[in-house]
Amino acid sequence: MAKKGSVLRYLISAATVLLLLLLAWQCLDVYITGNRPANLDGYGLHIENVYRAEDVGLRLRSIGIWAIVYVLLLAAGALWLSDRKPDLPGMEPDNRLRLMKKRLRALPKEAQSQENCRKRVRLCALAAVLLCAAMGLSYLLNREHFMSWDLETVMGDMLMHTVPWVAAAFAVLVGAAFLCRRSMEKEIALLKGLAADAAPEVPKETESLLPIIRVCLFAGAVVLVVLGIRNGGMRDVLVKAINICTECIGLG
Amino acid sequence: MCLSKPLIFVRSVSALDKIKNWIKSHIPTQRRLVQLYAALLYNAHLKGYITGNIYTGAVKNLCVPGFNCYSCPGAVGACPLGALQNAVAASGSRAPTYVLGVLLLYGLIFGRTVCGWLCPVGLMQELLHKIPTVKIRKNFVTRILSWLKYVILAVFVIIIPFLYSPQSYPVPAFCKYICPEGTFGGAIGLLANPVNFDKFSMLGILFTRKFVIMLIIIGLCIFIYRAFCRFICPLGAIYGLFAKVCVLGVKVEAPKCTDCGRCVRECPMDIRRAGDHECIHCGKCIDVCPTKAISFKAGRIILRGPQIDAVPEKKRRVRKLRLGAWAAALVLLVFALWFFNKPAAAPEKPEPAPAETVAVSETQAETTPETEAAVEPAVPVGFEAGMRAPDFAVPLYPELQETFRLSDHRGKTVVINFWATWCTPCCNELPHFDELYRKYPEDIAMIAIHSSLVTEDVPGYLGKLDYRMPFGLDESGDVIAAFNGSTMLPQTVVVDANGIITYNAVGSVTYEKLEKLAAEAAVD
Repeated sequence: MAKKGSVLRYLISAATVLLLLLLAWQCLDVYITGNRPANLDGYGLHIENVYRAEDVGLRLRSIGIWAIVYVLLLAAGALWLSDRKPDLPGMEPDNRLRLMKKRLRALPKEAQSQENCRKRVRLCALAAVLLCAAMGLSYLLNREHFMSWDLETVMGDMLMHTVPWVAAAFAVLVGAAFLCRRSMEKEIALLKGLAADAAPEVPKETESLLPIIRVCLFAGAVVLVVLGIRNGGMRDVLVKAINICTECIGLG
Repeated sequence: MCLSKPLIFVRSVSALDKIKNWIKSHIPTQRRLVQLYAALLYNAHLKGYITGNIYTGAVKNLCVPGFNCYSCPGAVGACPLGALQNAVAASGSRAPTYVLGVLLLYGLIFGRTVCGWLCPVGLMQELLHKIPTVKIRKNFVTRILSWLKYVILAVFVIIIPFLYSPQSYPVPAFCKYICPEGTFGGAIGLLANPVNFDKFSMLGILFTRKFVIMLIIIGLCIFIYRAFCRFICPLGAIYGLFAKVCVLGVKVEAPKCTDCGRCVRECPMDIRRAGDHECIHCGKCIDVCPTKAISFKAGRIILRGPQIDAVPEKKRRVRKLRLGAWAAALVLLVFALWFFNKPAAAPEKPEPAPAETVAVSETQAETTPETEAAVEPAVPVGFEAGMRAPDFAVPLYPELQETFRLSDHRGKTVVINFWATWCTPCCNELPHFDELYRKYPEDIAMIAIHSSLVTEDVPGYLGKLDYRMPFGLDESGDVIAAFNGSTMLPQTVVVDANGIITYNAVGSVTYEKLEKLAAEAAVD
């Protein structure tokens, strides 16, 4: 029964991906067809509009049968597959390590060296991320790159120059997280079996400055709003909101 | 001897039980009801889906706390993220204090409780995630990817609009290139109505790209819990900054917490501990905490938690308060549905316009004499191609002393562009109009008419740029209304030498298109 359930789940997953791909392909096909040379006049302008309501309707109708099949699959999935709670993941290594360390007065040498290793990994990762951030920001904060109103070219250049650095930074972070997890698991294995020799410390409730911070922030917010109303900021919000931002919704 | 039940009866009972159990397990929770309520309240302008128009009332001064595109036909408030980008883009002329103050207020009061309880996009993501596919669980990679939304916030919401602000060129980069809500609620919401089928002509590469991005995000949300919320949403990134100070939300009592990590395991978001910057305060962790250290609080008042559940009297009091709050909320919703959908007062029937003049800008109404029109009276006055263009007069920048009158330019092709300084595609295409004007000064008359809203910055804007074509002001909004314009810009109208409209459409135009339109009007 469970096997049939998981087969149905994989089937619905595949159907979901296929339906989304089908929709994306229809949209791309409309665009490509509309931009074929036969549809362009001497000025390079479209003879017929790229998107037309009738064409879009026809295309949606043509994939309607697949949408109905998908909905039937969903209905089967909803009835057949129970809302079983997913198995909870195991305890995070850093949580487990923190609990274990709370019960020990001193760490053994090997565990300490794992800690030092993780500190070095984190420092290197931080340095690498800061370097990537600096490289990305050096492009972004250079006004010269954002003078042109040809936003397609500007955004394309921006993505080409910053995405590699952003991707590199995330790759470094993932790598560092992976190494740290391995190190934590090794440390957990080392600390397992060690008898607890300290009672876990119960943190005391301390007076916090939170109410004062909240009051200050609230007062600041009210002042900003009032200033904004006086300097016409609220009217700017209204003007943008009551006019359709055509480019924001993909028109234009 | 006992009689066994007929087999069919046994089977149908079991199927009935299954259906009953299914219904019981799918009764919406309090949180789901609040989410549905918020989605309906933010989009209370239901008649917009029927008329195909957006709400244009004064309530749109206010930003709703959650993510909701203000170009959606149902939206009754402004989107805080769109408002922030536009405020940053206009920071060259005006400090964005209003939007910053509103975000500070929402962040302080709600924090990311907005994400978990008051955001329609959050609701849609959770409903999409219910589709029974294979799911990708959170892990250390998703936790790192959750920092991506801060990068998107910094680059698309702050840096890019800010860099273009000195040029007075508004670029709401997140809305324009990424936001799926604009595509879904705005574009599809408007275009699904037959009244707006003519707007299909405006779709091109921008829509194609945004549609594909929307599909990718939908796919991710189906397989990954709240993928947009966790990895992309800049609004969640902003509210997450208020995790430690927000009044409302999930709070952990530190003395009771033993760091067992059960809350982290139970939570589908990438939290390190309950109530941190990734927590959306859904409250799933409250019931699993073994030491009952977690509760949902508003300041010091506990709204939900073991301290309430354990004491029947407190539970009853909270229940009464909850019922009272729901009653008040329902009254508000009913009022909102009535207010935003009441029929508009029928406009007074206008006196029949004289044949020559239909729309005259207010500042010139008393001084400008009417002129005779020398066109065939058989052609009706209107705004569609083939109709006679209504005459109008608008004051000209910079001094607003001189006037541009359409009938003064009979015998020439006239190109009219309706634009605004706060409209990005408008600003983008003005150079094309100016280029055409410089190339054919004898054959083409041109006027770029600014809409009536927010006009103080127009002289400053024009002073920075070296345009030769004349710019006018439609102070009353009558001129754009005469050409059937309303809430969408830019709009271009081409009138031939006989005063007949040959082109009238909303949407950006390229130089090539303008030249072609002018050439076609000259032939006619």
